[in-house]
Amino acid sequence: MSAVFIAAAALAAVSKEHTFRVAAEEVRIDVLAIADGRPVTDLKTADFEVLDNGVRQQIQYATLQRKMPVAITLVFDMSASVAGELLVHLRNAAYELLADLGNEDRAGLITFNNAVVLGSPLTRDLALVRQALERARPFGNSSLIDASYAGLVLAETQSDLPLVIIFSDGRDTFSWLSGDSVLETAKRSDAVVYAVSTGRLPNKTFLKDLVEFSGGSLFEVEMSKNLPAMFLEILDEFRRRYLVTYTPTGVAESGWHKLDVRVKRRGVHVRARPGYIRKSREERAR
Amino acid sequence: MILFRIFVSLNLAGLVLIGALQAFDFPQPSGLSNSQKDFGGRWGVDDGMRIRDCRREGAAPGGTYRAAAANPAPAKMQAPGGTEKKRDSSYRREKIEEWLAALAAHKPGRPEPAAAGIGRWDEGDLEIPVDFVTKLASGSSSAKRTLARASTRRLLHLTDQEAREGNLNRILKQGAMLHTDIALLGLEKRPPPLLGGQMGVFADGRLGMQPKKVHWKFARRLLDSVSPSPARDPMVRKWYIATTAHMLNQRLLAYAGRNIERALEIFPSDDKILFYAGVLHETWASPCNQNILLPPLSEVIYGSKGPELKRARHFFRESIARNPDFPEAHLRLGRVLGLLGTPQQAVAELQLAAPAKDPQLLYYASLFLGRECEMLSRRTDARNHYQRAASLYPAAQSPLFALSQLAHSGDDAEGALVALQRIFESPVRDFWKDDPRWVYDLAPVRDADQLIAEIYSLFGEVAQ
Repeated sequence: MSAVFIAAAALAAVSKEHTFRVAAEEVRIDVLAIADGRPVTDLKTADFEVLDNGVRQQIQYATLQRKMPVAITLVFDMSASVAGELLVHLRNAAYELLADLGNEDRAGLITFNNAVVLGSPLTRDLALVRQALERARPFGNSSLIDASYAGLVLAETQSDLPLVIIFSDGRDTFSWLSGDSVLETAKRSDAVVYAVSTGRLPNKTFLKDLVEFSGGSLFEVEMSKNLPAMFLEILDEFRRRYLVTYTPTGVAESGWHKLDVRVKRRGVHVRARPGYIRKSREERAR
Repeated sequence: MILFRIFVSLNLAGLVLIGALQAFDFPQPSGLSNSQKDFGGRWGVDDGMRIRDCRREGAAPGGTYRAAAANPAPAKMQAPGGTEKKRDSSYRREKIEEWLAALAAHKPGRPEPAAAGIGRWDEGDLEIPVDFVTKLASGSSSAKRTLARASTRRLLHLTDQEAREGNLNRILKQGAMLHTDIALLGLEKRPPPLLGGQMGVFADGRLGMQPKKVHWKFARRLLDSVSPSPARDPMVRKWYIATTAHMLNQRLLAYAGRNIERALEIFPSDDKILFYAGVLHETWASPCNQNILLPPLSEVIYGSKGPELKRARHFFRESIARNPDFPEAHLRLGRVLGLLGTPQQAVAELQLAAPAKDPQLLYYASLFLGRECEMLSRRTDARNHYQRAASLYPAAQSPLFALSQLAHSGDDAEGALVALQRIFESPVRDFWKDDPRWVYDLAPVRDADQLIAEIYSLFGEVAQ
């Protein structure tokens, strides 16, 4: 799910390959519909219902994302705790994920330890991403929050469906940015964040909050050898999500917009971001 | 429930880390109970001489934290090498002579074989000469009687004046320097204790274990006996400042905690030591030491973020009260006040640090002022401070992240991306030096090597 207020002027490019979203006052919500624990993929636009701050909206279309190119930003922990077998499994997982992408899909890589490093910008040349991953070496501490922020902003540079996959042990030890400030960034972003963590995380952690605000999911893996299967599962689930689009009407322009997305079919539940932040025309003009 | 108590700190560089914490509040077996009555021998230290209680020093030569908590039996039962030999008077004399020979041979800062030899002793053996000398230096009537004997004076190579005055400061300081160097120069190679004696070590939030180091405490014990009192001896103060700086510089936070605790008992009004105490608690409050993965049923000995920040605030304020012209203390107090949610007070303190000429301090002040101005919704001021920090250290990521996030929160997507692009386009040359924030915890002790060189010089003069 990705709820997004697509405002926007053109952004500067991180690479020449990037294209940028053009201003349009529509909201896109990335929605995963689930029945009996499995994604539902035969829904029509009329099956969806969206309440924006409690006001029912006219949905323009709801499209299964399988038919659209994706832009995946991989945000990988390269701190000391990843060294060894875990790194081998992580690389293998990424290679399998990249191999599953189509010609129109893009991928990029951000790694983090003390520093946050752009290994590869979002590109269709997936060999660049593989090479960057091979170059990365575990070291130092975890700037998880800073790197998550970078992943969200980088993902915004693409008009394709933005997916951010974060891999970490879930513990930030070195960031400058606060978790709360990056959660605010997530409220303004249309990227969906999936996170994979080694071991179980405490109830209240930055990663759990981040995936919740973005409408994604958190996977806690006990065995790192399961990472390749986990990454493929994430991509598969992401492709079975719907992009629901509408132009807000009858609601205030600025501030936090609480979203309530439903499917009018018995037994089907949805996972979507809980809301988004929108600014008024005047605020945007300033 | 038995808890492991692990004194944690962060090993950013993968060099060293953490401390353990039996020493803080577990009942510790001293391993000295028999030595009190057994000590004496030909040097005549009598039974009435009080033996220093080493429990707070974590003197137990063996025992894991679990063992120490569950079975506070006398540590001598677990002492490597057994206890019988320790009761033997000739064995003790041999150890004392060997220790004194190492003292005489030792030149501060040099890893001579004699010092390395003492570094291989187990803790029980180390107690023998240190206990002997500190008792003699106690000034008690029995110590005076012992010192009056020619055999004692010959053994210790005392001058007539030293013997007459009962002044063992030279030996105490030489001894302190010997044990300091064994710790500083990595000469401590004790046989592994039978039952643990490990320190928890954290790196990247995860626990490892290292052998516990004991020589710092022996150095402290020797200096405690300096006459007329350690509090009146400038060398002792310099020793505490230099060694604490070294420990903080190496991120040996557990050891630094013990050092600071004793230093504050001796020098409760020293602005520098109060400042170091603030730095220690501020560091314990950092994500490196708070966001850690502990084994089940374990806990760290320091507090959670809020209480540690409040302790840091207390010590920084005390330090500034003694020395108002202390920019680095204002800087750190300002940062802590910000983290405690009082941005107005934080800005006031940080502005007192902002005129600093040191670019590193100026960088920190600018960065932290930016954050506090952001908290106060003074976005233009915040941007200016961040930009100043970025101009001081162009390769630093922190101010660029701050500028990017500030732009993004104002719906300036282009500005957010431009700042981020600067991060991505700037290659990381040094994972420790590109951004001074990465070594913020080390900044207050960046003169540690110089301070150590100073005590080498001072203590070297004592030997001559």
